[in-house]
Amino acid sequence: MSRFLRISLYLVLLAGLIWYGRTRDPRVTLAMCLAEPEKYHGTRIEVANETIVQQLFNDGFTIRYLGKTVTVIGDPTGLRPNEFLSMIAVFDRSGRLLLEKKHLALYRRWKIWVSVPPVLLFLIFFLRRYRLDLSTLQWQEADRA
Amino acid sequence: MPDLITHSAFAYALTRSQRFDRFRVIFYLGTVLPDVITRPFYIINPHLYPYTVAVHTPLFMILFCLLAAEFFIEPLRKPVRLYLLAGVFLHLFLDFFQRHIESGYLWLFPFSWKTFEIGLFWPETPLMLAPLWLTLIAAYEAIRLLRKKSD
Repeated sequence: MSRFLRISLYLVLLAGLIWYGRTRDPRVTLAMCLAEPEKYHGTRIEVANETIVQQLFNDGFTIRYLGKTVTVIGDPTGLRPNEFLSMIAVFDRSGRLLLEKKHLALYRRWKIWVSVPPVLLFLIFFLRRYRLDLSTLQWQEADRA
Repeated sequence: MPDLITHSAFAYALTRSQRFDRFRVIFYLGTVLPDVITRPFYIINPHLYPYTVAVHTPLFMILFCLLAAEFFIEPLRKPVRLYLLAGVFLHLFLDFFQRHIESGYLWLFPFSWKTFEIGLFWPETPLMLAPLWLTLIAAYEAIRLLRKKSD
């Protein structure tokens, strides 16, 4: 099989997997619940995906999820505004969530930022070691080019 | 995912043998690859998350490594495939020890949506040890340089 055909085949398979993951995921998300509140009333869901704590109250808190503010009824102990949160909650048709359990992802911002330097370092190592032949779009070792 | 310093430190520790010299950087890139082609998209735009569900899975990563190897000259493709995949599987192995509030990684995607993991630590926990890994690597490199100079 030629290189062009192999590349085309891999690209089609990868795109197919992305499409399958996008369209066939059986998990109910908060976005789906908010779009159809009656249909998903009483559904137990996992809420994560870059969800951020907004305001804290005595009996609950609000979160920022995909640009929307959502009220959560439940114990806010240990939460801090502006930190990432993942939680299990039951969706109510009113658009609110009833908290079952939560995990505050403290230091997630740090984790994201400290993950950048290793990637940049490896890219520098790679570019020092390999050269791209633009005519064939193939990398080869710089010291053997 | 643990932070990429932790992933990289494990990759560093495993590739001290001279056998890795020629393709060490490929192994390192494999070690960070599952997160590099997933996280930036939905961290910058969380609406893109559904499009990344498939990406951080073994099957997708295998196909991606096969694709990436096609962009190397023919004699390098086999070792690039091997080292890139080895790095990717080291990454997935470490991720397997994490815990999530409920659903973790989809190891059997697209054949199953079931998730399972050992659940030893939260994704943020290894960050506390990152300074230790960096200190150990710096100490090892310093000793190696001193030995080289004295030879």
